[in-house]
Amino acid sequence: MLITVLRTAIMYALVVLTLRIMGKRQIAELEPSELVVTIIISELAADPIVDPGKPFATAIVSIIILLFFEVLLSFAAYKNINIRSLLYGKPSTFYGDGKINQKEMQNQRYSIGDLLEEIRNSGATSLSEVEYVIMETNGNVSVIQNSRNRPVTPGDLGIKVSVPEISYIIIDNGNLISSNLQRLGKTRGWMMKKLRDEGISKVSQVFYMGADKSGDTVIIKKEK
Amino acid sequence: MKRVIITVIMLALAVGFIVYHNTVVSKLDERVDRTYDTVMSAFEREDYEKITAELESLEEEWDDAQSWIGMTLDTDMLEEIGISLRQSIEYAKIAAKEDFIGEFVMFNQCVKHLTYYERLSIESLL
Repeated sequence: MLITVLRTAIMYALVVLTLRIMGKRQIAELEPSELVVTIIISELAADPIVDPGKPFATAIVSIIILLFFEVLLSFAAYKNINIRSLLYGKPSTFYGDGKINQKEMQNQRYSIGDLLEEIRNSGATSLSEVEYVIMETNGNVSVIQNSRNRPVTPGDLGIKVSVPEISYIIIDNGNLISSNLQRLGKTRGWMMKKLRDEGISKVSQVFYMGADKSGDTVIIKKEK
Repeated sequence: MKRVIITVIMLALAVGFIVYHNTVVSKLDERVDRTYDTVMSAFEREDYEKITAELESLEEEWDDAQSWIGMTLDTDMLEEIGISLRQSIEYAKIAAKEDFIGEFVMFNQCVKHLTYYERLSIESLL
């Protein structure tokens, strides 16, 4: 049993490290090859955990080799557009310039029912409200509404709006993130003053503190 | 770029492990081959003391190599080979001719099977 515990811990660390090295993508946005590699890695990792009789090193070596190929190919795809097309394909335009591309829909085995479903999911009700429908290389379908039907923006109404400021986390569950404080050009003294204004004397008492460059802050105290 | 470098380092470690593992298996295979020749000529002379001494020496080397070889073998296969070797030794000690030769030949074939998987061939690939 101890072997199982140890193998599980080692495999967990290896898989997390592998996925971390492979890069930041949410599962829904993985390219098909990346999804396949992720599934294979999880299968390889599970095998020696479930059966302690199975060799451990074989799974580890296989995972490392998969990681190598995945990183190498994604690096090559990043540098070379031809390799990118070969590995990931190209986006498919199903609808554009007022016409449905029936040939492309047939190539992708995408029915008119599927197309209308995606249009409804985007908030539109018919093809007449849409400018483009494009299937991306990761399989997601993007629906671009035409300018007559998209939501009104302040620009359309000639309203000037302030540039939105990004809020940075300064304190995360009692931990100070100094790099974000520096990024905002604020000092620890400024931060402590803000905390004292809320009746807080220590960083460890704060669940969340966020601030943006204009100095707006949000402070949430930890619940007892 | 940092990602690629880390991956290449991990791959280099994996390749290093594979090369060392192959070396251990090859050395064991050569040792078993030499033992096989020695044991078979001693078997013809019915010199079971020589056979026992040779196999006990081989058993020590097998125990040393087990940790590395076990990294790519099922535990069952590993135990089967170890048991086969020990049984060969016990049969040699009591001069059980037929039992010994059967067990020893099986041990030899099992070790040969190890090196078969280490080599690259169409049969093992498919």
